[in-house]
Amino acid sequence: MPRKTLFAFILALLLAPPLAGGASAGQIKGTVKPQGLRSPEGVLVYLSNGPEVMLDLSGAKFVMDQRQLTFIPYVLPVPVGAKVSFPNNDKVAHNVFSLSQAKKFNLGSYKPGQSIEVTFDQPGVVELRCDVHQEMKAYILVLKNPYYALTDAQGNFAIPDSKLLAAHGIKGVPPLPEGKYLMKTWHEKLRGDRAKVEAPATGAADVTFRLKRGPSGVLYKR
Amino acid sequence: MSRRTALILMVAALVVALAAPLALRLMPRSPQTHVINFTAQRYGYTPARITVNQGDKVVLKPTSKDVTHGFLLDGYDVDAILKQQGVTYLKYLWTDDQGKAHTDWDKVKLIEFTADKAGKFTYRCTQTCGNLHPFMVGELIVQDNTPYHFAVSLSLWIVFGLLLWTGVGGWRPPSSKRIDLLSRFSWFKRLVKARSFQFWLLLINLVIFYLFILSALWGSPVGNRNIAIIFVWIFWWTALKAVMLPLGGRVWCLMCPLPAPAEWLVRMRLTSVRYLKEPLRRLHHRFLGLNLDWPKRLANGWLQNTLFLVLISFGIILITRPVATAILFLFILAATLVLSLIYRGRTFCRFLCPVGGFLGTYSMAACSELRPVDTEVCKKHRDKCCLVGGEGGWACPWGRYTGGLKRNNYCGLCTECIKSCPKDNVSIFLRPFGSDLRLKGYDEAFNVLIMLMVAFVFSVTMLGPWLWIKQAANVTESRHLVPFLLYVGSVLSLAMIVFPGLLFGASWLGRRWSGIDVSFKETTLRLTYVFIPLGIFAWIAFSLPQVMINYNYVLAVLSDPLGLGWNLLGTAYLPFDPLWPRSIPYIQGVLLLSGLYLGLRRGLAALGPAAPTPAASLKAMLPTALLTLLVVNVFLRLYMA
Repeated sequence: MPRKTLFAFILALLLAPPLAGGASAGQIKGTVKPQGLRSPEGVLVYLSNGPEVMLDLSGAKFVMDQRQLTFIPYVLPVPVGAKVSFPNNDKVAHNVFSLSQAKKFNLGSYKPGQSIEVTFDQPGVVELRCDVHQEMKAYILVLKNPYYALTDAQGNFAIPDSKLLAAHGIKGVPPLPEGKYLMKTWHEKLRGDRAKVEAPATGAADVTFRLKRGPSGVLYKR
Repeated sequence: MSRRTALILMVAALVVALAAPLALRLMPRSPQTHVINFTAQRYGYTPARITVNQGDKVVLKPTSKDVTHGFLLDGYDVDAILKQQGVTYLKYLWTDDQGKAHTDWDKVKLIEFTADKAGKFTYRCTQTCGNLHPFMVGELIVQDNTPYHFAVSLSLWIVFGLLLWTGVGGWRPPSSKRIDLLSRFSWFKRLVKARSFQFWLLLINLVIFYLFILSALWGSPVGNRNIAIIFVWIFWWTALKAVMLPLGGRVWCLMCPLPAPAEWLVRMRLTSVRYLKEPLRRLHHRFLGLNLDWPKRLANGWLQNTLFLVLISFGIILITRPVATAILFLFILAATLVLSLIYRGRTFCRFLCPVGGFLGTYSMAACSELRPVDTEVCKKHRDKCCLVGGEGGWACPWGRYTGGLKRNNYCGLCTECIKSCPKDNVSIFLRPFGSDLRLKGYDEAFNVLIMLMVAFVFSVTMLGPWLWIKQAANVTESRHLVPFLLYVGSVLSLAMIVFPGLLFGASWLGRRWSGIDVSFKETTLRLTYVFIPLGIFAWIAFSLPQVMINYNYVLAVLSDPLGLGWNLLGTAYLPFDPLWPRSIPYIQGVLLLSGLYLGLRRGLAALGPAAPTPAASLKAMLPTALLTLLVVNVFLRLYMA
């Protein structure tokens, strides 16, 4: 075998696992099967004791949009320290406020076209409301580490959630180190569940959550 | 052609009629996805009708233009709330570990479902959104609409079979069997013979009526939250059309509270009879007031027809605004008082009451009648107490001579003649449906035609999905006079010119073709009879679904009759939940086909002696039968497609 070919072959073997995408080192994936939801989409899965890493949030962009009397998205997970903007892209004025422990604020009434930013520096659940439109509601979930994911329309998730991180422009999230972690779930209408998971050095651990309806808890015990 | 051949032909035609709709289903179709911008506004949806093929996927992008509306799709379990700017809540069901079902709402952007069931499905507003809320509907048509195709082919078969059977002279003459209820049930006889019988019925209804008026004036101004609207226009109207009329004819007139106070006043008695030995201008009574007779020139049905058409023009306003209902009733009450003080007897009921008009013509088909037991006894009896009054009962308030009663039209069933007859010769009989066969004048004929057209107009305006027609009719809210005038103009011309014109044409053709030896007027009057049974069934098809859809409003207003926030029976806040809405098009189809059969069958009997041979009868009826087929198919299309 010519040396060049051999070299290319070895290089290919070395590069194959990372280029193969998903199944790289340190990943936890799985499925959430909720009871009493129309769709299993939008359940938060997170590692409550995951490694707290310094994040590069310089290019990050977190947006809680207001369009057609609706907050978009309904659930927005962000890492601690995230600066979230609240643009009013509606035809009417809105007044966003929160009475939650993790972040209390009241943005006052502001007109279409305006945007206000809020920094979330405490972990926890922040329930958003609008003082003008009582049916408007959304959640910002402030998390201690970037190892979280939201389920897709089929209830599947993967931690870290590369799509979500890319969408929010969070850079520098290292792969999940090998080790034992405590996984938790959060959804407005579901009782939170937990599972101890061992993240392997390579490949992915697979977890299935079967969640029941019930009062949602806090993200972290104080 | 022999009857045997005719029978074989009819069976063969039935096979074809049943096979044709099934054959239509064999056309190949590939499933599609329909993405539809879907808007709700007072009082309709855009699009008003969605037509898809079975198996297609429907994706609605819903929004509301004004207030919060609902979207409840019959037969598909899709229940959503539509707010402004596309905010939509979709209901879903889930079961907990104990197997208990729960409902929850999810905020969505799209309403998606697969149209896997064929037929017609109505979507309805579930949120009380304004005056015409109960009539805010739209329609989903899932092809192949086999039930509708069945109804159409069966309607063709019924007309074909009936005419064929007529052509071969297969019909036996109509039976004149009747059952004397008073001699058969002695308790019933004691009941109607009691002087206080009518009084108690009137009193009970008068008390209820009084409460309804209070509620209409001071209760909730929202129609579907007011007992006056719900009970009168949904419950009573349906009971009148679907139960009282076909079974008891004018039995409502026996208990109608509106003329009661006037009658008590002018008689100056509640139950007993004031009998004068010497008659005062024929009658053995002196009433309070002028004791005049109703002018001869006005002694016909034209005033009733006119008043009915006037009311119908404001129909949708009348039946959705409690205050309008109250004003109408108080006006009638006042009119009965004034007229009673001037004229003797029930002149309002007889010549003015818009309801009385159609109760008269439709009662001809009723399954019961008040008649003399033996007409010979009447002929020999010189005093004619039924007409002029006797010691046991008042003179007929309707001016009838019971001995000469051949039709139900102008007998208000007040039971006075049963009490006044000293020979005990008056009774109430059960009889076959559609027994009084002869209309007597154009006033009656037009009443029949007007009623049929109004059933059509109401079906279009109230049950139809067309927003612009509702807006045109709902003039006090939309405030556009021109569309309203156009609406009223079309209703009037339809009822007074177009449809009568078609019938007159059919009658003229039939008469010419068959060469029967009766006048044009007589032929037309006899042929008009077809539309009495058909009209009754069309009205039942219009009314019955109202109760099935709105029965929860009936229960709710019973719990809170004055709209004061009470909850007497715990049913005040029942959610809108139609009863078997999926079955409504089927029920309507069966009713219309029954009406078609009975109409033509009894119409042929009405033609009877005028057309001496089977061929003459077939030829005389054929153009009218085709017109009837057309009418039934217009209704079928409205209700089932």
